[in-house]
Amino acid sequence: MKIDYKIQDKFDFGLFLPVLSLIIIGLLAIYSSTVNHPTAIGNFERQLSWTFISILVFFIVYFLPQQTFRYAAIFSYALSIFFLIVVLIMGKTVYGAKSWLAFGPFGFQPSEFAKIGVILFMAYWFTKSERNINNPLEIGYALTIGFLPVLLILLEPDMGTAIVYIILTLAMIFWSGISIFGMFVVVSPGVAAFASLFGLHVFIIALVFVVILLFIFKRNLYTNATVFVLNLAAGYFFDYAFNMLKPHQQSRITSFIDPSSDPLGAGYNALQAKVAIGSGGFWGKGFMEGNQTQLRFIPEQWTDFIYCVIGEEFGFLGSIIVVILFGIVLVKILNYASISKSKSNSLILIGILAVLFSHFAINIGMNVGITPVIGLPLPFLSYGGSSLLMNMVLIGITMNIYKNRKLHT
Amino acid sequence: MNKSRALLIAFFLVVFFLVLVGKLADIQISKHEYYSAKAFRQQIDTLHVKAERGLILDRFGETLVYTKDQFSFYADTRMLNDRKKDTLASVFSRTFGKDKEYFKKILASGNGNVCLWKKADRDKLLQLENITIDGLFYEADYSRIYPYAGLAAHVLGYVNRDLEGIAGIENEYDKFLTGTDGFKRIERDVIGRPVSVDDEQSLEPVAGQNVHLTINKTYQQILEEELYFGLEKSKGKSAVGIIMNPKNGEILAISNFPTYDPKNYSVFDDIDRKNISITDMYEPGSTMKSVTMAAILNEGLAKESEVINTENGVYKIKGAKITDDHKYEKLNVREILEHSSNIGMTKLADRLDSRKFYKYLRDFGFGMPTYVDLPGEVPGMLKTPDNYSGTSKSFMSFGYEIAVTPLQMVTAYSALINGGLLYKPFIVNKITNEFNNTISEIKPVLIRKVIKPQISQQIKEFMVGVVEQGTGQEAGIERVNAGGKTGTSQRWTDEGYSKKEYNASFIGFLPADDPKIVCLIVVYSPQNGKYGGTVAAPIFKRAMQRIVESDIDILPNNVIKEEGEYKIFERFSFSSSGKNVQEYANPQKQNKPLYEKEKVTSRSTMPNLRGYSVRDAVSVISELGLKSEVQGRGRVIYQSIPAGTMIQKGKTCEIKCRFDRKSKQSESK
Repeated sequence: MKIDYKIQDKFDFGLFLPVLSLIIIGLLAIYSSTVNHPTAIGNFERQLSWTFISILVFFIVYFLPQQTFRYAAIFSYALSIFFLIVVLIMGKTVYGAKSWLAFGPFGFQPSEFAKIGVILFMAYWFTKSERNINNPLEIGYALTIGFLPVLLILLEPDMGTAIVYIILTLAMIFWSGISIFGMFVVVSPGVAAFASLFGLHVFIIALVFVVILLFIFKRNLYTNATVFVLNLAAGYFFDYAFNMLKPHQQSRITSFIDPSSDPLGAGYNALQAKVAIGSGGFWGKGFMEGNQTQLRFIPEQWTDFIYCVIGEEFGFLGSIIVVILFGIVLVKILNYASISKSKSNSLILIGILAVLFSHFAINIGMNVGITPVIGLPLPFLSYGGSSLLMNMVLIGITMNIYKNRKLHT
Repeated sequence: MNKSRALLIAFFLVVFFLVLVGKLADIQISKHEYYSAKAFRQQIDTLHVKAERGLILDRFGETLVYTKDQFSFYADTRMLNDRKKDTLASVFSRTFGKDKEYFKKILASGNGNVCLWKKADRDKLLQLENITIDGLFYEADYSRIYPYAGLAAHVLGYVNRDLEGIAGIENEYDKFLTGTDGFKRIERDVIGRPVSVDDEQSLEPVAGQNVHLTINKTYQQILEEELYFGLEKSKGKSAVGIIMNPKNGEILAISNFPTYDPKNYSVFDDIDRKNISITDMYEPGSTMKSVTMAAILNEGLAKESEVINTENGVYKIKGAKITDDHKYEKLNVREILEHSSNIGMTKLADRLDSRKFYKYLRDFGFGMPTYVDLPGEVPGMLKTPDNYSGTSKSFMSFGYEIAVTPLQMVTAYSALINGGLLYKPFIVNKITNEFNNTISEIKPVLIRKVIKPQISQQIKEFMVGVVEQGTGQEAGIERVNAGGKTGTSQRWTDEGYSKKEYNASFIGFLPADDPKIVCLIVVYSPQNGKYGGTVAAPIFKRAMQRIVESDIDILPNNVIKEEGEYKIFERFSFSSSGKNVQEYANPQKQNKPLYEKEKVTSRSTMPNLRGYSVRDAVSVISELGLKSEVQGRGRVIYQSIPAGTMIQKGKTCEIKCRFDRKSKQSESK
């Protein structure tokens, strides 16, 4: 075994520097949007301290021995579930979701940190023993591990984060080597459920597609029937669940499907974000010069709508730079996952990729108007200690795995 | 491992990135203009800045109506979550002292802008200015304040919600009072708060001008109180009182009952709001005899001492029966007027050619509007000679078959006693700008000479006789010679002239040798009493008695105006709390005992004017008996007499004003 002791080999600046750049761009945007805002004074300073703490934690995680992630898997998952239950009982309601657990002056969101627990435990569970992931029972176990936190988070209710967990779970199941048919069985009910949102016609069309695909897969009648019933049930259940949502969450979904239905309600933020980004033009209006930002047209812009500060003040150029930096980070993680020799590590990396990508895609998507407005922070840029710390832990794990990539053969 | 799956994910990532870049290019490059325009539209606004409406003042500069800056608070519920709504409700509950649930209910009531509080005072704004909640905003909302509630309501009129004059002076002088609105180019933030103003592209509003009335507030108050008192006593349906300066046609007071409260005008009926002194006509009855008599004497058709057979009270002429309430065998010309003999009048009028008679009536102003500067005037009804029946001239000579407005009557009487000159009645004597500089002054307008001065003198003497030994003895006033004429007319109803409903009127003047006041009192359909001499004359007497006491200049020069002498009058003083007027004017008993302006007036120390508008400050200073000198515009930032110092009347208070950013904000929208 040949080990390269060059620092480049141990510490991938190609990943770390883009992340650091994103954090710095985020700090600039937070400064611009909060320094003149009467209710957000001090947010920049707080975020700056969190940046230092997060980088410190990043290095701690980076230097942890490789085995820690396996040993910690069960414990961290159990702790995550524990806190997700505790927060439902005694959590503080923030923006309509009971998601904040306070300890005196400090507090955190269990749903942020539970991502680590789920990623580690699923990776551990898939690789603990030889498993046939195409066995329906095994799929069921895997889905249970991933969807237990989804259920708890939906109870808060925090739909955005729940979606992240769903993507995370599906991505890891996919990466674990499930057959295409297996993936179809797992995903199709979700598609059917989503289709049910658009009304009965679309739902029936989705079911027809399911039936056609079932014919193509040429499985036995029993399996086909089961899958079909699953789809049907998913549609009905989702319709029921949709009606259980709070009105503001419902209207966010419907206003995305039909933006003209509620132009001044849930569509307000989406429209204002687009106005901010669009008015930025190619070069942007300059740092601290974005009047859409400075005039506070977008409420709480420093959290979920930080991207439109960049779009407005740094223009198309700035927006593209952020997208490229994310692209570098995500492609690097995907690359690590595909070259990793340990299946467990590889799964962990895919989990991390899924979390970062879903946050990135949904957040920027809602800023530019291609996904619904679901409250999710943009990793590394949005204001918020829990989010930044958790993302740096994920990057820490990523680089830790990269550092140790040659230890396993 | 998993190369194919990695490729699948990579492909998926690339597709997503391409979509994202495409969308960004679409928004930021191809649709850049569209979104920039959209941003500009919502951030940059041309704001309409309403000019402050001018004051209405009485002849001595006392403010009768002013405009007050107030602020209305709104919340955009779309920008508020439950937690913020809760905070907002507690803040408002604390500031306005109302239940928190009240505000919560308002906030829950709509999706969009809801009004949390209408027309709050400036101090509430200061309290709330430090609270920043996205979605809470305010706008300036002016209120028209009538500090004396219903005083001179029919003269002043009222404004609608947008401060547009609807009735009275507010309507007639609307374009003077309104001023010129300005506009501001303003960059504003999401809650509508202006952040910066582009002065180059803005136009300051020009405040409305002040209208100075000829009304004497003291006379007005006394007239209203006494008219109300008399109306209550006689249980009449309605009443009118007008006081005029006979020398030039200035209206000194106009009072009508029923009346209304200009602030809450909408809760009153049309009939309460009507200025019946100019909008309604009546058959004047015997008060017309003085006019007929003047015409006859001016034509030289009778002599003062000529004796006329008055037929002992009953006289038939062309099928009609004319009666006198007071029966006399015969009366001389003077006595005919003093005792108000219809028969005597009929016989005298017979000597007058119909066309001549008509010409005199026209010359005295009957049958056409007086063109007084108040809205809604009617011309009255005057038959042309072609339409006279055999008895028309006779009936018209004592005030039937002719309909006049009370104001026409007073105007005609002014000419009757001032040497024969008919003046156009007027109620506004001066227009000033916001710094109290005169813009225009209205001069009396002489319309024509109606009768010779010696005839005027003669008629005046006759009318003094009416008060001294005739039907008007109830109108006699201590120490001052007054003259006048009573009038009692049957009201025209569906069944012809009513035997139950009368109009009782009295029109008098004083002091007799050099009249400074002419005053008409009409009580419509009194239940207690019916004669002008018993119903209207006492009202005249009480009102005039008080006016003479209040205004020593009224007294003729030969009366000794020493303090000891003058004190005699005090025993005639009636309580003048003003309560009656207000109770009548305000059915909801919303008595506001603290007139905001009066509160200032009653102070003997200088108030703090900081933050007042120029207009408010100037009016406060003038009410304190000080002179004002203004520098700059906007809001007061400095006053030369510091707040809290004792006021020495007649001194000059210098104020400096400036538009500061705060005041701009508050004035915007």
